[in-house]
Amino acid sequence: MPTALTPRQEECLRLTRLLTDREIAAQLGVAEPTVKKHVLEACQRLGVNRRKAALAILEDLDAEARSESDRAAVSGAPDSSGDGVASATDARLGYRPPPRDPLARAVMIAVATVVCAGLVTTLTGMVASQHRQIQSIEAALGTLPGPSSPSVAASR
Amino acid sequence: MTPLQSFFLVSTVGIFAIGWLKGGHVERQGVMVLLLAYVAALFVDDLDRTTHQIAVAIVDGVLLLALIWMAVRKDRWWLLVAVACQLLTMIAHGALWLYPDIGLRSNVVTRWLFGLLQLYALAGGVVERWLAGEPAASPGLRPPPAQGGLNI
Repeated sequence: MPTALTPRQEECLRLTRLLTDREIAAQLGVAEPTVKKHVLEACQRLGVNRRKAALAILEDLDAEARSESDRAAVSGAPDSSGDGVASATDARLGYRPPPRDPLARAVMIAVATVVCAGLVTTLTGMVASQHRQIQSIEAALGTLPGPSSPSVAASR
Repeated sequence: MTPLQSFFLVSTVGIFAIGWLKGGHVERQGVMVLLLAYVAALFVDDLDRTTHQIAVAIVDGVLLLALIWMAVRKDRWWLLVAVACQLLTMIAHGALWLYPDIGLRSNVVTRWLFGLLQLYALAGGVVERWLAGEPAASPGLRPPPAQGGLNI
């Protein structure tokens, strides 16, 4: 039950999703065994023996809270729900990490591959076209009669 | 040294330094992995002067596997972009096999461009670390721990 957790236990447990115990200890300014103790007690209070299971329970409760706040927002009531994971980890500008599903990550990698390929193709295309333009201008200057031609040729 | 090589060198030094000093643990791992791959590629490039650069392709393949492992294990967007760039590098290696009329020089330049994109993805990782609200891995840059009340 979420109300059974102290704020510090809940905070430590949420941070285990992204950080190691040592990193959490550094971030919160406490000793590493203290973090381990908070996480262990949080697991015990949630009735599970693994922190991933405890996190899953917390995330389910978060999802329920979000759906309730969405319903409240639709019905016009003010949103009084608690913070999500982002605020628990001091995330800025609404940052959210990539989804945990490996398939979703694979799809995102595929999209990024196409975007990067397009970017490099466009870039090289622009450079090549400019190169061709420069070559054509130089060729035109080289074929032009008059006093400018020898100086251009000499400057090369 | 061509302008692209100079830009790549300056970017490499700058981004590796920023990634190491300002990045989190994931960015530090990224710096280590990329640095190892660059050193290995330099080493094998001297050994293998064949047209298809098989040894460099193997190093790039190992780097791709390492980046995929990191992208699956770590929660960072920049790793997905880095994997995409490395994937394109491997496609460029494959293109050299499939289309022998592609010049080695243009192939190498293409791979350098993908490597440059990958480097800037790592630089984006430092921004992502800041957005995620995580502390920098470098102990000298961390804020001092709060005094009192937190040591339970």
